[in-house]
Amino acid sequence: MEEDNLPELPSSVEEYIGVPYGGLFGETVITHVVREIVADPEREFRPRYLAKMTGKSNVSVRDALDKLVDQNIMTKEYMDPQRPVYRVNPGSKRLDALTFLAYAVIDDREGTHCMRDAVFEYCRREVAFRFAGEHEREKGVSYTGASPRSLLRGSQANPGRYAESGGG
Amino acid sequence: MAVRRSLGGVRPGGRKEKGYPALKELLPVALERGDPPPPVVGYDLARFLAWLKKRDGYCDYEEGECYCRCAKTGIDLFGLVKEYGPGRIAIYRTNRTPSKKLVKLHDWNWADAWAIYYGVEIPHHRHRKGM
Repeated sequence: MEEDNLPELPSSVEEYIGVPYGGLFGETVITHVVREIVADPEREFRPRYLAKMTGKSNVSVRDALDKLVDQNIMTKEYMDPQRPVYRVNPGSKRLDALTFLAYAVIDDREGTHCMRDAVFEYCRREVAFRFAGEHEREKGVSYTGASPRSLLRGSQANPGRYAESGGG
Repeated sequence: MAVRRSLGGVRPGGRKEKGYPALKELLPVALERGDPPPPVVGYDLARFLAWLKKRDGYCDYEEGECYCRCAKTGIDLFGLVKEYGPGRIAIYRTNRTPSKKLVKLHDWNWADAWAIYYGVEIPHHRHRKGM
């Protein structure tokens, strides 16, 4: 696929582009910010990055982030007083629900089963975590679980060019 | 065996409610998942695919590049399409003026399977430990 010779996007799908959650919550700044944080909850967010990704102003993005901090969906850390860092609060159930909603939008549009798979995985993990917690209490040991990277090392498949690119 | 490993050696014994199967009967089935379909992808790419999926399966080319640069993944989007094929992930141009480049995910099952494999599908308990 060459850069000059790209196929045209079907006009039927163009209406969905750029509107978070299929337009369910409108096009407010906070909706755009929520979509970004749901999409990559492991990241540390700075207003400047989110402003670039959402196409909104730094000030409006910061206001939206502060609202999310008030809602306990995010936490704010001051490593540098001038540049606060925002992190997702992974204990937030609303974050989990918004993740499922993101998949539900795709499922409704494309007829896929992304949300079903995600709910299944969520339940599997919740149950495993619950039982692991009980085991911890019984034995007095800490549970770490198998890391994804250790699982990859255990696989015999060829990882390819992108399999172990740096970072993450 | 997967049950034993993932539960830290504990074989769960849920109480059997009337009319429902016991948890210990359901869990081995639920936890036994096959390997994701080829081609194999690494953690960074799986995270990118999950990111794309949670943004409705689309992103502007510039947004995708910005994500890859900020996350220090080293992913080149055109290289990605070349390696994995436009049947899985493709780059389009829009009909709007000015025309924009757009990255679209096509193979949802493949992306799903690898995102689940690396635990990036949904927010993870291991992230909660650090809080």
